[in-house]
Amino acid sequence: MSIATEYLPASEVASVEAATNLEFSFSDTIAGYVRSFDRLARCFTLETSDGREYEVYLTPTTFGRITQNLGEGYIDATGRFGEMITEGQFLYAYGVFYFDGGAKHKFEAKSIVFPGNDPEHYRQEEPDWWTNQIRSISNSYLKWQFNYPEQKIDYRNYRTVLHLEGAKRGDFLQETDTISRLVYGFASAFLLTGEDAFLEAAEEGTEYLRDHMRFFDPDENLIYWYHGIQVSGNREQKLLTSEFGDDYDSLPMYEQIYALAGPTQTFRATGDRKILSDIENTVELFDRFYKDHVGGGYFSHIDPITLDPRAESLGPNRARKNWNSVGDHAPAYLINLFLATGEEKYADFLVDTADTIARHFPDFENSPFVQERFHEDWSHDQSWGWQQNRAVVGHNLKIAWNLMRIHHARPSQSYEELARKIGDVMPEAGSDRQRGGWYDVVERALEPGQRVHRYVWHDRKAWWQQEQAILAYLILHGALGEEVYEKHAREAAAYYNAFFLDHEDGGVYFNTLANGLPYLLGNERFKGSHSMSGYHSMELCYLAAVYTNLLITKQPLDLFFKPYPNGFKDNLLRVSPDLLPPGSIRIGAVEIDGQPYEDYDADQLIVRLPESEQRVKVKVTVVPNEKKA
Amino acid sequence: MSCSVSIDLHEEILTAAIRGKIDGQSAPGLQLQLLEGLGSAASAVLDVQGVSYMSSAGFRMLLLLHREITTRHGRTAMVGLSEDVRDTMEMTGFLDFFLLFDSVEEALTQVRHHANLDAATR
Repeated sequence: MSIATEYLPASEVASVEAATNLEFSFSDTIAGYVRSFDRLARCFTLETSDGREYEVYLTPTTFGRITQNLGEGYIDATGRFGEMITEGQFLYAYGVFYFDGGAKHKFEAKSIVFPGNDPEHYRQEEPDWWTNQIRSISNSYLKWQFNYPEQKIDYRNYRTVLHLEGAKRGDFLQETDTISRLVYGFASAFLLTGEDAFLEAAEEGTEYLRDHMRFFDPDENLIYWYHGIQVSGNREQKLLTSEFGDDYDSLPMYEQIYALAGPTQTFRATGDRKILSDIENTVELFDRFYKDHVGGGYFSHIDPITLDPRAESLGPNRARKNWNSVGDHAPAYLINLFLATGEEKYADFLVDTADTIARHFPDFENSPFVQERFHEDWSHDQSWGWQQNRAVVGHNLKIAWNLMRIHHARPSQSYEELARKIGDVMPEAGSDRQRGGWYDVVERALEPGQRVHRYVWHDRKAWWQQEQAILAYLILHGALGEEVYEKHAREAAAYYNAFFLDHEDGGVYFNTLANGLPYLLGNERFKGSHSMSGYHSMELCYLAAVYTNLLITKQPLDLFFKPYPNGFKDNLLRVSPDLLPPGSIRIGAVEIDGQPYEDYDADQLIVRLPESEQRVKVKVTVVPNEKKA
Repeated sequence: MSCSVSIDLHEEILTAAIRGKIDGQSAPGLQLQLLEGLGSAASAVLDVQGVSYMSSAGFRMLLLLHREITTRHGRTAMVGLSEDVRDTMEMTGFLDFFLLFDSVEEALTQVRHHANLDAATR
């Protein structure tokens, strides 16, 4: 059987063989599970995630490695093939499909990546894997942006664009949402590691946003956030409206939502009331100007002067709703705001968000992918800009992930069913079953004769799309315990850790080619950019650590806080690390400034803070409620 | 309309005398008139002595006008800013973007001076 025919049922083999004619050699990657190993022939059978088998030949020059974390040395596995290539072992084989004139190509491996030492060991499930990774990424951004620790953390030195190795390009635009996303990363790194430098970076960044990016509207008594500032020496020009092509000359909801991401995560750790006030006033903005009080949901853009979502000046963004405006509240700030405050009104907001998604986004009669752009009346908008009738794979996974989280706060069968449905259909529609990893933007509908949803611009795989898959399948598996979700979670995290970590310069790559090699051209060469600023990579570390340890491998997890005196309401520190299944975790131990502390409600996950005039450092050990069987 | 504007061009500098209230209703129309009046001019002198009230919509309109003028390497000057409006602009953090004067003549002289300096240093 030739390579091309292996995707197709036997009835269609002949015609495709004739039509494709792959009579040449080429290199590619196969991801799969070892089914057998013929040691004499130095050949093993590899079964892909979707059940197709290949013969993989080892050569005298084939080398192998075990996935290493950021900050770790290279782990050679070349001398251990005999021991490690065993039944059930998942691995990535990169090699050459040689065409020697016969009916079948011969695949000879050039390099092999093992996600762990043995079939049951995936290194990403080690208790400290994600904590060590977030520490490394956070340290890289501290160094790149502020030259810390040689210099102080000063956000006047922050720049949006960073080269691959972390150097600045000399741009002078500081974007609100991009800074906020990095602040989110630093705050998450502190929650997980307790390292004060990360909290300092989060708090300095939050203060900088407040001082430079915040527009307090005295007439309306609310806050909105500038798109950013253009800095030149000590002078700065405030940019009220978006400078991005998709959103030009408007106040897009997306930017306002993400302005809250970093401050809110920082608030979880500190209880700083100034932050809470900014959040509350911004949520007020959403409610008064973006919310569609008649039809439901939130508009994606408003006019900068009139704050009207229906202003003609908005052009193609007039009276529109989309995934970002409707659903991105939850992961960006709203879940964290609810976790920190326990305020039921924020749970109500989450329910409204989930209900709106469940009501309007599914479109399974027409596509496995959700519809994510709408007119005011929720009719589908399939003509907008670059999106047309296209799907962002990661948005689908993000919906599944966040529906499960909201389901844990306010259980609803409909949320779980939709999350399951998305989790079940996405691997076939949006992932690469041959090489592993998740695609970017694809056509939602198949044309006659097509089986593969067409990749709109390329078949590359972006880091943030991998994140959405990892978190979606981790929480699905952690909450529901089904093996199929464990398999997808493991495969997604294995791909990310095998190919995205930049062991030379630190941080993670933006994109890989379909075969897993990093793609390092144009904007995708950068470590800092509008889209990449330490947010997704560190969000992934934080939540993967939570889901893996507390829901899956059932290990304790330490979390750190540093609250201001009288910051949190009633001096109650809420320490739940995320919206997890009710009753699944409890507080195992608390230390304050290094001393054991007993005043807490273990099941409610609340610490009653001591009266103090100083900030205290709180270490909380959260433990799962049941041991792994 | 709750506000009116009379527009003039002085050697590539727009002068606009604005009267009445600048609020959410009047600001979009005013912005349109100012941008049209700006034509190819690089700088603007806004005489707001006759402005009795400016809402946040007016501030946002000023900010957008300022951005447009900055892209032309020009300056935005305001004449006769009332204490109330001045306080609010200070609070919202963008008072520094504008040159402030007591008379249109003084504003025109200074804006021309800045324009000459800028041209000499570019």
